[in-house]
Amino acid sequence: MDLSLETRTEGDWTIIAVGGEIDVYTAPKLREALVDLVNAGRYFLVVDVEKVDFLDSTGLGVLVGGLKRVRANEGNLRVVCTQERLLKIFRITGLTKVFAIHDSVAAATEG
Amino acid sequence: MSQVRLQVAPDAAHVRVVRLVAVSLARVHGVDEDVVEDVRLAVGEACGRAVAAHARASVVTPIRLAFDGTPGLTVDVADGVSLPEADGERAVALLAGRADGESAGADADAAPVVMALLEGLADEVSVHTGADGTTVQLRWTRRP
Repeated sequence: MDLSLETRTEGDWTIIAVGGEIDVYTAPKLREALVDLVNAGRYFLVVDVEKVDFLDSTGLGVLVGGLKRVRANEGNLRVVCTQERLLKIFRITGLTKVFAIHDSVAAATEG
Repeated sequence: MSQVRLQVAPDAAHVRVVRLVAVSLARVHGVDEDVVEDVRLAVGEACGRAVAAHARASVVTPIRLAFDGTPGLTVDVADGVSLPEADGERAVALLAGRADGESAGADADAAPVVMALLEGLADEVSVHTGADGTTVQLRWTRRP
């Protein structure tokens, strides 16, 4: 399965809905999408991984890279995730302390 | 005891194939269904690490995997890149970027995350390095 990306705008926020597998092979595609958004001046990003079947450390690295880029522009990157097996990966790597993880896009774009 | 051996070119596109084999063999060898996802991720991480190590060192030889049902599952992921004078605990520390001195390479930032995942997902992790490369061994025991 490949990676799918759908981007939409809600007010100041850009929502990137990701589907499929984010791994060492597909993560560069997500990295490119995040870099393009930041270069286009979109600094408030929500990455929705609800339809992601698999996420590895490369994918986590891309999310951390995205967070660094938007923060450099005083923006933010929030994650939408309720899947326990993905949340476990965020926990093991300590990234639950780095990312604001929300259970819906509505919750992520609030405030 | 049964054994499966797999050799893959050091290409990121093949890591997914390795994950699928790992999941299939985990089920064959009675690894608890809750743990099968851990096997998928950990074996993929170890293989991805090996692919990255080959890319950094411009090594094009295959990555070698051996799967043993003992019972449970033991997976050896062997690359062709040796760590500097390290074995056992020190090699684990080097891979995790915890040791003093030389880091695991240009992608050293990613190394602690990979090691954290391997240690968090497998029941046992060990690393052996020699002149011909580095082997990460992951073990899952079969729960009663």
